[in-house]
Amino acid sequence: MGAKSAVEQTSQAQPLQFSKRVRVASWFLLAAVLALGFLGYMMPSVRVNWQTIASMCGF
Amino acid sequence: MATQIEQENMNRTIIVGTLIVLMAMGTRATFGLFMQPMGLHHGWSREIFSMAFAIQNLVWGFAAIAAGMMADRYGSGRTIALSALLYALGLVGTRLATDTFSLYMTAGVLVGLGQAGTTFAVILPVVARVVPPASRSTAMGIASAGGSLGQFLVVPTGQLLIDTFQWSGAYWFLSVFLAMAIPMAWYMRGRPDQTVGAGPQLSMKQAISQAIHHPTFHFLFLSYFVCGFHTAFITLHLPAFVTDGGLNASTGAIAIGLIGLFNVFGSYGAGRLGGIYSKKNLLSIIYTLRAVGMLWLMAMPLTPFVIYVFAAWMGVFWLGTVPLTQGLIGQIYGYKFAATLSGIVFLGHQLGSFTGVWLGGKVQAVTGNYDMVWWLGIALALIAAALCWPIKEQPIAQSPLAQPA
Repeated sequence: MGAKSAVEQTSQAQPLQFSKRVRVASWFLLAAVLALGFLGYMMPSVRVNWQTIASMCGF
Repeated sequence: MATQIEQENMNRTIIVGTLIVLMAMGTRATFGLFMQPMGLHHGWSREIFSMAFAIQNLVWGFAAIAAGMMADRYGSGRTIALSALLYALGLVGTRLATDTFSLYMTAGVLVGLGQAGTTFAVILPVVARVVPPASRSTAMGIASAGGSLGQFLVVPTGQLLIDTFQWSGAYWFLSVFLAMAIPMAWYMRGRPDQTVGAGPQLSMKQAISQAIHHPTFHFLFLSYFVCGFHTAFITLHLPAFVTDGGLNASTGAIAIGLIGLFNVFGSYGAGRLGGIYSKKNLLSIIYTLRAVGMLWLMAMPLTPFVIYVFAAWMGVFWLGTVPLTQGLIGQIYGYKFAATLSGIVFLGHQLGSFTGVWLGGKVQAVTGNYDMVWWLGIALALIAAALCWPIKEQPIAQSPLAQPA
């Protein structure tokens, strides 16, 4: 049997503990992905469809 | 001190849970992209797609209760895997649908069933159970932010897929994308342990009965109803509101991008703050600040700047209600039946969505504008804020009001 199933944990560990280097890199990556995602909303095809995107996107 | 294997297991569960919600919520958000190309191909009108989407939302709401029960009784991994399979089959079926009935059964029923077991009501309790109590709210905030991130990122990605592979090809990509959640469900497996979290020793029936006889549960249900009312009304009717005001498509596209972007930070932030401050007070603040956002829109002349501020503001408070509401459910009623109870409360959200969409259209048809619904939205926000104040945050087993059925 490998690792415990998800519900068996009762430890005092903290979620998503990584080294500082990994955390900084993750934040930069997230910022880049968010910026790229926002640029995606400037695409002509997204602008043309924005009403149907909004009305059915479930945001 | 946590062992390395416990830490790795915890990290993996949070990351996998976040990814599953991202995939499920993100794929759902692309539905509107297909309306034009599919409509042209099949000769289907906007009303047909709207009906399919309405069916999907109602099925999602009702099936969330069944998915929650299944997760609590038979295990979350099985529930998530089955739901992801139904979701992927629903997408394949939507691609192959040739008439409106098959569209309703696939994009409506199958996708709705799939969403029920791959989104917040089922995933968040699993993520919450795997971390220590002090970190639960943060963990749920991370998973909720995954859903927000999916909504934000998969929309432009879906449009790129349609531009590159046509709508039919894009559906295959999204089906495979969703099917990847099936093996990932292995890492979300397990059933809740009575010893984890608060709550007396009850059967599922007793736990549901106890909750629905507890005023706090009603407050959570009703405030979630208001949340659904706001989000559905705004997304469905904001385009007409903006267009009627003479603003162009670029403004609208930037506005929905801003809602999505700020929603990511809002979801995470609400979860994080919920681990430090009172969750019910934070919920009250969120609903009050939503009212402020809508007041801003009503009071200011309609310009791109006003719309952008409104979109960013509402984005911050968009899905921040999710980790707080579900966090309160787990905190008060325990985690043994958290998915079931979350599913019941989520039905309130979906009923609110339905009401917001329907009422917006009705009022616009009768009065020629949306003013009355905006004011109603403000009033409901303040009512929801007031409803959250009397919530008892103590675990029900320790509460003097607790009267197990």
